[in-house]
Amino acid sequence: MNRARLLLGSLRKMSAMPAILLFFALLVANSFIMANSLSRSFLVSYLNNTTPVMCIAIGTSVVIICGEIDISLGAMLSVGNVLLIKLLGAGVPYQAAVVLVLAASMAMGLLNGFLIAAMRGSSLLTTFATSTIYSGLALLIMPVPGGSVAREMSRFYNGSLLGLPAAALFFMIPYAIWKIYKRTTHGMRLYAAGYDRNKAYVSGVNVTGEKIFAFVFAGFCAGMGALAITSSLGAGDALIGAAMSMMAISAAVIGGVSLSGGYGDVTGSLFGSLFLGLITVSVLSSNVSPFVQQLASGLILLFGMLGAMAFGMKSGKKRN
Amino acid sequence: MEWPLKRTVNTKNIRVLLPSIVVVAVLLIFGATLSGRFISVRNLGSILMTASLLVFATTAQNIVFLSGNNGIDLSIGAVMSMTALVGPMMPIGTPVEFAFATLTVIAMGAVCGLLNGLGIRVLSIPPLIMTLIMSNVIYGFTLFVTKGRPAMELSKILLGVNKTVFPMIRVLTICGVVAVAAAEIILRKTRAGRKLAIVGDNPNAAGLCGLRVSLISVAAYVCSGGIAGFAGFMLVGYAGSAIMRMADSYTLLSVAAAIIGGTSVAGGRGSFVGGALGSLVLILLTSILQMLNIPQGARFVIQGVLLAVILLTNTRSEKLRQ
Repeated sequence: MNRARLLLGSLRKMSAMPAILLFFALLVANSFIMANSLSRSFLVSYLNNTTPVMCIAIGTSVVIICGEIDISLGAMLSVGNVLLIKLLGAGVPYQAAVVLVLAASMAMGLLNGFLIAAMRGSSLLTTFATSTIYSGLALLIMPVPGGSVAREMSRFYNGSLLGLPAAALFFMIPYAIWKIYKRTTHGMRLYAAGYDRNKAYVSGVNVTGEKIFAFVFAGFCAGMGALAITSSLGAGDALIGAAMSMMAISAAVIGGVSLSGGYGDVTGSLFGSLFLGLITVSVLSSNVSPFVQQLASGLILLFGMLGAMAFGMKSGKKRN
Repeated sequence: MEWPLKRTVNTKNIRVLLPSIVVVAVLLIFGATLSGRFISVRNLGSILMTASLLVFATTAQNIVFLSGNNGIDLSIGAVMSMTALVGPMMPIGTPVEFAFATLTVIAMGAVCGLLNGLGIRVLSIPPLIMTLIMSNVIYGFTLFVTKGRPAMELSKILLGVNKTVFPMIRVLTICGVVAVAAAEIILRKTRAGRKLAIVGDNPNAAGLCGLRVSLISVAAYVCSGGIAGFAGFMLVGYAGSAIMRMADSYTLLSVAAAIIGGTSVAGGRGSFVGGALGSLVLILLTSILQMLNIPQGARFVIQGVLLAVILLTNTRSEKLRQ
C-alpha cells in the first residue's frame, strides 16, 4: 500500500504525466470514433506522420529547458527537406546527402546559438529573424515543390526495425543523445543555465557553451525531422515546416516543459506531440463537417493545455 | 507613481526613437537612388497606407508588451484575419450600419483578447502559449462561421479607406496617425496609461501600491484584441477581398516593429510612436525589396538578415559578467 502510494506520488511529480494521460485518454476516445484505430497499421502510419514534429519537439524542448526559445526549427526542417531532395536529384549518393543535410541543419543551429548566446540577442526575436532567412533559403533552393527521394530511404522509413516501425529511429536517436547528455554533468549545467543564468554563471557554469549546445542540438533534431519527412513524403516543399515550430512549442508545454526554463523533460514533449498529432487524426476521422474540424481541434488543444496546467499546479511544480 | 512615467517621457525616449528614424531616412534615400518612382507621391502614399495597417497591429502588440509579465500577443494575425472575413458579412450599406459593424468587429477582437487575458492571468498559462493556441481556436471559429468562403463583395463605404484625402494622405493613413497619437496620449497623460506602464515596469511593486495588476493586464489584452479586430476590418477595406489566414504575417511583424521602435519585451517601457516608426521601417524594407524585383526566396533572406541586424543592435540582454 505504502509502496503504491509512493509510486503514485512519484508519477504525479513527473513533468511528463499530463501529456501521457492526455495522449492515452485521446487514444481511448479515438478508438470509439474509429473502428481500426488500435490496429498496428493505423498506429504505424500515425507514428510515421507524427515523427517529424516529434523530432522538432525534442529540439525545442532542450532549447526551452536551457531558458531560450527557438521558432526557426520548422524553417530549418524545410531547408533540410529541399536540400536533401536537391542533392539526391543531383546524383549525390543518399548516405552523403544525409550527412550533408544533418551538417547544414547543425550549422543553422550554430548560427542561432552564436547570435543568441554569444551576441546576446533575444531568442524569440533572433530566431524569428533567422527563420525568415531559413525559409528564404528553402525557397531559393526549391521555388516550386517537387522532386523524388531515393527508394531505399522511403522503403527504410516505412519498414520495420527489430519489430518496431523504423520511423521511430528518427526521433529515438536525438532522444537517446539527449538522455545521455542529461546524465552527464553537462546536463545538470544546462538545466542550471536555464533555471537562472546569472546564478549558474557565478557557480562556474559555462552558460554560453550550454546554450550553444542546445541550439546546435536543436538544429540536429530539425535535420532528423527533415530526413523523416522527406523519406515519408518523398518530395520537397519549401513551406513544409512552416507551421511546425509553433506546434512543437505547444507540444513541449503540454509535455510539462516550463517556458521559464530549467524544468521539464523531453519525454513529456514526445507525448505532447503524439497528443497533437492524434487530435488531427481523430478530428479528421470523425464525421464532423470540415468547417468545424479546425475549431474542434483548436478547442481540444486549449482544453488539453488547461488540463496540463491544472495538473502542473496541483503537483506544485509550476514556475511559469 | 510619477517615477516610471518620467523615465518614459524624458529625453532618453527620443534617443530610443533615433535608430528607427535614421533607418527610415536611409531607406528612403536608398529607394530614391534606385528609382525616381519610389519617392513619387503615389508610391509614398501607398507605403504610408500599408504601413498604417501594420501600425494598428503594432499598437496592439505594444500595449501587451507594455503590460509586462512576458506579455506577447501571437493571436493578432488570427484576429485580423477573422474580422477581415467576418466583418464584411454584416450589412454595410449606410454609415450607421458601418458604425455598427465597426463596433461589432472591435467587440469580437476584444472578446478574443478577454479570453487571452483570462487564460493568462487566471489560469496562469504563459502568454506565448495561450495566444498561440487562441489563434488556432480563432482560425477554427473563422472557418466555422465563413465556411471557407472568401470575402469578395465589399460595400463602398468600407472600400473608402483607400480614398485619397490630400496627395499622399489616404483615409487609412489618417486613421493610423490618429490611433497612434491617441494611444501615446493615453499612455503618457491619463491615469489608465500610467497604471499600465507601472504594472509593466514592476508588477509586484504595482500590486503593493494598490493597483489591480490582474485587471490591468487583462485590460491590456482586451485592448490589444479590440485594436486587432479593427485592423482586420481596415485590412479587408484596403485589400478589397479577404481569404483565410491573410493577416498571418502581421503577428510576428508587429512584434518586430514594436521592438525596432524601442519597446522593451520586459515591459513598462516603450512608445507607440516608436512602434509606428518600426512599422514604417519594415514596410519600406519590403517595398524596396519588391521593387528590386528579386526572387521571393532572396527577398526573405535579405529581410531576415536586416531584421537580425536591427534587432541585435536594439535588444541585447546584459552581459553575464557584471
